[in-house]
Amino acid sequence: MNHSVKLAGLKRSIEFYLRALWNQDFNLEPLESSVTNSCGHILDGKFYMPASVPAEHSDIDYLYAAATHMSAHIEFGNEPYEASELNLMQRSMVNLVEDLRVEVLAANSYPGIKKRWLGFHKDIGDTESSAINLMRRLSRAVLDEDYQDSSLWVQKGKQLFHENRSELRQPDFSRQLGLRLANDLGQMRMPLNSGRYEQLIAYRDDNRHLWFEHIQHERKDTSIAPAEQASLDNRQLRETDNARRVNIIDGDFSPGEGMYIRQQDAAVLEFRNNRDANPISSFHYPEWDYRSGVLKTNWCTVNISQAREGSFDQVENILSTHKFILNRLRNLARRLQVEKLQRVRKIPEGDEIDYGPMMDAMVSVRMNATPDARVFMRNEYRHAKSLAISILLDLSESTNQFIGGVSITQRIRDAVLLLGETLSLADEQFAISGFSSNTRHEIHYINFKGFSERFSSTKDRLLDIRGQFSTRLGAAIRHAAEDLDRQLTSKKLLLVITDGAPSDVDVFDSKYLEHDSWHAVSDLQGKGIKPFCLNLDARSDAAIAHIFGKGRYETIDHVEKLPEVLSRIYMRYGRH
Amino acid sequence: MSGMPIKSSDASQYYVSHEPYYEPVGNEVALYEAAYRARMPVMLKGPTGCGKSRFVEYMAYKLGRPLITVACNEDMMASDLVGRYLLDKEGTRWQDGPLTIAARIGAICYLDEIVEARQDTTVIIHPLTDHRRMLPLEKKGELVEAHPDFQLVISYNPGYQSLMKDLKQSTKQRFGGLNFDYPRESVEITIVARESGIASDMAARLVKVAQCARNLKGHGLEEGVSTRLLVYAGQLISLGVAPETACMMAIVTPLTDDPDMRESLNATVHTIFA
Repeated sequence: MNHSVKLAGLKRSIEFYLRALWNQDFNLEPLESSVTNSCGHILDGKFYMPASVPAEHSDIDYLYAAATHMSAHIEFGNEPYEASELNLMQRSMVNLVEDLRVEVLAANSYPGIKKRWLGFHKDIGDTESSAINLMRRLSRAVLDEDYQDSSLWVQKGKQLFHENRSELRQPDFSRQLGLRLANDLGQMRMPLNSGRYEQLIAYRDDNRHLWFEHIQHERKDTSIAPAEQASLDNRQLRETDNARRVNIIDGDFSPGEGMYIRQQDAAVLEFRNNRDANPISSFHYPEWDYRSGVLKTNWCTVNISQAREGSFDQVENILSTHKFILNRLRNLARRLQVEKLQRVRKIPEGDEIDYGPMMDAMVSVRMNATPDARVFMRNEYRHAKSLAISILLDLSESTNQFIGGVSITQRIRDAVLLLGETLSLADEQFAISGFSSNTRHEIHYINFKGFSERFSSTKDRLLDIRGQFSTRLGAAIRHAAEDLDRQLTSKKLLLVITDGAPSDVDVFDSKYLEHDSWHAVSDLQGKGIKPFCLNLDARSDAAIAHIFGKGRYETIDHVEKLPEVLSRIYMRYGRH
Repeated sequence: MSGMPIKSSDASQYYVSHEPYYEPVGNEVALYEAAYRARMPVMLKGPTGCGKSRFVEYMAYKLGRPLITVACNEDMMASDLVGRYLLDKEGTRWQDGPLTIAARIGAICYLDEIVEARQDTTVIIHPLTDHRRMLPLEKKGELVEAHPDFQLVISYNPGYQSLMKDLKQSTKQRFGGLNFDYPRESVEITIVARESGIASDMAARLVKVAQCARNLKGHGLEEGVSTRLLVYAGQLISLGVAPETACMMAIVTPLTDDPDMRESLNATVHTIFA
C-alpha cells in the first residue's frame, strides 16, 4: 500500500483543518517510503508525515492525530533545548512532558482533539513494569482524567501535571518537570533498555525540533544538497560556452553592462549551454532612432528558440507553495467564466421579453405611433475566444538579482505559472515567451507556450526561465506583436513582465532603447493590440511609464499582489 | 390586471411593526442617529449575514420611519427603482418605483447589495444623495423633491468580488460609511442563544465553529460563516437535531462545494462537539 498517496488525498483537508484550528498555515509533506522509521518529524516548519501507518489504526485517524499533534508543537512550542548535558532518560522524559504539555494546551482550546489522541492510548496494560510502559501510562493518565493507574510514579506525574497547570506556558516547564520525573524513574532502577530514544505513542513525531543539536544537524544535512543550493547562496561562477564572457556575480552587484569579476572562494562552476545554438528561425525587425527620427529597417535579428522541457513534479511543487494565491486566482477564473455570460437587451428576437422596451412599444401602439420592435432579450456567451493574450518576459541578466531574498527570475517564473494556471482555467487564449539580447544581431526569443498549445502540457518549460544578457525590449515587442496580430480575436493584449528599463551592450545612450520601445508600443495601437506592463522593480518606474504610458503599467513588488493586479487588467481589457 | 388592494404609496404598510432584535456591537446606533439627523446617506459595509439588514430594520423602528427595502440584482434597470408606465384598460398609468415612493413618503430606502446592480443603474441615485435631494422622473417629466424625512441607505460587501464589481468613486463618495463585521465572541454568543433559543454553552460552541471556519476565509473559503447561519444551526439544535448534524446542514454544506474543505470543516465540527 502506498501511503503517500493516501496522504496526498487527505493533505489538503488536513491543512485546511489545521488552519481552521490555529489560524496559520501548515505544510504536510510525505516522508520517502524508503524511510523505515515510522515517526514523523517537523523541520523548518514543515510536517513530514511517516510512510507507514501502524496497522491497527485507521489512516484518517492516524494522519489527523499526527498532524494535530505537530500543529500543537508549533502553536504552543518554545525555543529548542540544549541536549548536550542530558542523558537519554532525561531527554526522553523532557520529550514526553513537552508532548503532553502542548497536547494539554491544545485540548484546553479544543477539548474534542483529545478524543482522537486518546484512541491511540487505549491498549496499554498496567501490569508490565518497564520504563517505556510507565511512560506510556503516564501519557495516558495526563490526557485521560478518568484513567486511574496503580503505579505511584504515574500518579505522581499526573498530580504534578495538574497542580502546575497554570505554569504550562512557561518555557522551562517541560525541562524542569521532565528532569524531576526522570530522576524518580532512575531511583526506581528502571533503565531505558533500548539505548536510544523511542517514540512511545504511535502518532507523535520524534521531537527532533525540540533539540538545538538536532536542528543544526538537520540543517547541515540539507545544505550539502544540490548545486542549485549554491546559487541560492548567491555565489556562482558562470561561463558561457562561447567563452566570450565570464561573469562572477555577487549579492551586492549593481546592474549594468560589461564585465564584473570578483574573487570568490568556494564558487561553484557552472557551464552553460547556449540554448540559441540552433534557433528554429530568425526574423529581422526595424529599430527607431530617436536622435535622427529614422526607423532603421532590418536592424535587429530575432532568433526564435524553444524552451527546454522540465519536470512536472517540480512545477507542482512550486504551485503548491503558492496554493492559497492559486486558490484565489482559481476563484477569480471561475467568476470570469460566469462573467462571460451576458444579457443582450432590446433585440428584435430573443428568448425572453424585455419588459421596459415592451412597455414602450405597447404605449406606442396605443398612441397609434410606430412601435419599436426590439422588445426581446437573450443570454449570450461572449464570443468564446474574444481575447488573446501574449505574455512577454524579460529574461535579461539583471533578473538574476535578488530582491528580498528571492531572485527576480524566480518571481517571474512563479508569477507566470500562477497566471498561466488562471488563464487556462478561464479558457483564455494565450502565449508565453521570453527574450534577452546580446547586441542587435542576437536577440533571443524563447517560446514557452504557443497560442495553440495547451498550458497543462507546456508548463514544465517555464522551469527553463533564467536570466542572461540584456534587454532589447523594442525588437521583442515587435516580434510578439506579429504573432499576436495573426490571432483571430477581437481583443488582443500584450502583457510585458519586466524588471527594468531596456538596455544592451552595443547601446551607450540610455534613452535610445527606451525611445525605441516607446515606438514599438505606439505601433501596437495600429494593430489593435493593447499593451500592458507588469514591472517588478520600482526603481525603473520612470522609464516604464514613458514606454507604456500612464495607466498601462503596474509595479508589483510581491507575487501575492498578482491576483489583484491581474483582475484589474482583466477588468480593463478582457471584458466589455 | 385589476387594481391593487393596497396603494403602494400608502406609508403605513412600510412601518416596522415589532421591535427587531438587534444587539449593538459598538457605537453604530448613535452614529446612525446622527447621520439620520443630518439626512446623510449611509453605506453599510460588511460580510454577508453579519446583521446589516437587521440593523437598518432596527433603526427604522427606533426612528419611527417607514422602511422600503430593495434587493439589488444585475438585471435591475433604472425603471425598476424609479418607476414605469403600466398599461391598463384606460390606457397608461404611471407606477412609482420603490425609490420614488420612499422619496415621496419620507421613508428610509435601503438598497441591499448595491454592487449587484449595474453601475449605470446606480447613478440614478446621485441627485437624491447630494444637496439637491431630488429625483427626476425622466419618462414622466416630473421632478420629485425628496420628503424632508427621506434617507437613503445602501449595503455592500467588500469581499474579493469587489474587484469584479465595485461602486464608482462618484457613488461611493456620497455616503457616510459604517463598517460591520461579525460580532465579537460574547455578543455573538448572546445573539445566537437569543435568536435560536439554545443554551449559551451550546451557542458558544457554535461560535467556536464559526471562528475556526472564519480562519479559512481567503484560504479556501470565499466567505466566513455568517451569524445568520449560526442562528440556523442553533434553531435546528433547539428542535432536537444532533449538533453535529445541524452544523453540517446549516454551516458546512451551504458554505462550500469543495469536498476537501467539507471534510476539514466536518473534522472541525467534530473536534468542537466531540
